[in-house]
Formats: sequence, structure tokens, C-alpha cells
Amino acid sequence: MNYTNKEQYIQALINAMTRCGVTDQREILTDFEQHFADGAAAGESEEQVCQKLGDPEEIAKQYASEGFFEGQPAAQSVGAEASGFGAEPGAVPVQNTAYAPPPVQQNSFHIDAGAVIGIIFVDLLIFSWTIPTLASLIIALYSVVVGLIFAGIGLFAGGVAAGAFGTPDWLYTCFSPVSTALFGVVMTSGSLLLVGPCFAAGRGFINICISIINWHSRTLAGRNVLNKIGKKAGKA
Amino acid sequence: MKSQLKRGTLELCVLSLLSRSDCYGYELVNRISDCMQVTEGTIYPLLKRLKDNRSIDSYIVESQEGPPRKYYSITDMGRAQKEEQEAEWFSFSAAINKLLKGENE
Repeated sequence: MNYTNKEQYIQALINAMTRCGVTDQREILTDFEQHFADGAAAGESEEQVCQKLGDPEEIAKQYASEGFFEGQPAAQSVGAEASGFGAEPGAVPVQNTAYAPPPVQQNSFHIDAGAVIGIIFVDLLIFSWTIPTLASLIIALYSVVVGLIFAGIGLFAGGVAAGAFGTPDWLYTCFSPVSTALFGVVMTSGSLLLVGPCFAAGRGFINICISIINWHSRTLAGRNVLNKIGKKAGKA
Repeated sequence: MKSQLKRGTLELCVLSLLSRSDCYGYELVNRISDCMQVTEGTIYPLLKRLKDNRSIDSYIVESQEGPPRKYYSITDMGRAQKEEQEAEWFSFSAAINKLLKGENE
């Protein structure tokens, strides 16, 4: 991304610093404003100054990696910078630390107490009625569909039997054996059409559960533990 | 590797320049970029770190034209660090030069 004027550049820097969690932005921005002013006084165009300053993202990352915004002591960030020249007094001899591999971005995950309390409250809600309600609905749906399929098969068989052996005396029906058998076929095939939506609903329910589990693990351990059904691994 | 090498030595360059005279940001940045190719903007985070380390200090000078300028100066502690790092650099670079040129074989 090329920046052509100061406003664009400063705005990009603000955005990048906010993303990187740099808090002490005012003084930094003053420094850069001044840099632009000095550049203009030296006869440089704003575009030139932008180009020479470089990617705001990189600058923001470096401010963030210096680690002065979390109240950390300065000495710790020196090692993190993989600098061969420790700035703290009595620095480790250069032969041992010089040109270390690039600093690995530490995954500084920590559990937030507020998030845990939030989880407990949401869990109370979820497990007291949301999950039970959804689960019963899904079970009811499956039962109805399975019931209708078997009822249709039964009607068909009954219709065929009645046609073959005659309607028994104890059974009163106003339907003929043929219409009974046909009705059974219609009922079964109609119910079979419901199997697809039924599985979709079941899958949706399982995915909701997986989301809940992942949400817990993200909050408590910083990562997902399960992939959703029907999604390729890595995409979830 | 290239930028890592620069980043490690940049601190010494800043301390060395400031040990000779106080500079304002733009001036310092330009003196460094005159000698080597650097992403100029990344010198400011370094200055902030050095300042937070109390290796350097800053003061404001009102100027006739434009906004007041922030000047950087080296502290006694920074000067000691510069001496130390400079010595390390000379011995380290001498050793590397020797190795690269194959003089000890």
C-alpha cells in the first residue's frame, strides 16, 4: 500500500497501532507529525516522506513488540527484539545473543475472569433450557418421521392383507383395501422426503453443540478443539 | 536475516550518533538512512525503547518555524552502553571478517 499524503499515513498508523494494542499513541503521533513537518521544511513531498517511513503496520508492530505498553520492564523486550546489543546494564555478552533467530510472536493467552463468569451464566441458560428444548425438538422430529414411515408400511401391508384375505369382521373401516394400501405408500414416501431435513436439523444441532464446546475451549484454553460437521478441516 | 542484522545494530548507531551531538528525530533518521537503507519509521519505536530504558532522554525546543521540536540526548547510562556495545561490535565484526575471509585456515 502506498500512501500519498500525511493524513492517509497517520490514519493508517493509528489503525495499525490500535490493532496491535499500542496504547500510548498521542506522543508517537506527535513524533510522526513532526517528522512530516521537518520533511516538508527540508523540501520533501509528503509522498516521499511516507515512502521513506515505510509500512505503518511494521512500525505499529515494532511499537507493540517493544512491550512498554503492558507495564513490562524494559529489559525483557531487549531479548525479545533479538538484538545483539542488550540495552540493559550488564547485558549478556554479545557473542551469546547476537543474531538470534527472529523473535517468535509469543502467544500470550491468558484467561479473563470476566469471560469465565460470563461462561458460567450463559451455561446456566444454555443447559437449563436451550439445549434440552432443542434436543427434545430434534428427538420429537426423528420420532414423528420414523413413526410415519412405519405407519405407512403398516397401512400398506394392512391394505394388501385385507385385499387378499378380506376385511376381518371385527375391523370396521370405510376405506377400501386398495385406498388403504395406496395411502400407506403415500404416507411412507412422504415421510421419507422428511428424512433429509431431519438429518439437516440433527446436524445443525450437533454443530451448535460443537460451537458451544469450541467457545468454551477458546475462552479457557485459547483454541478450538473440534471441527464442525460438514466443513472441511481447517475451514471451521 | 538482513533486517535482523540491521535491527540489532541500529541501536548502537543511534547511541553513537547521539553521543556526538543531540539530534531531533528527523535529523537522526536521515543521518542513519544516509548511511544505510532502513525503514525510517522503525527508528521511532527504537527511540522510544531507548528512552524508556533511560539510555537516552528527550527535551522540547521551541522553534520559530513549525511545531516545537523534540531533541534526543544520550544519558550517562546510554554512553556506557554505547562504549560497551561498540567494543563488542568491533571484536565481533573483526572475528566475522576474519572467518569470512578465511584468514585462520
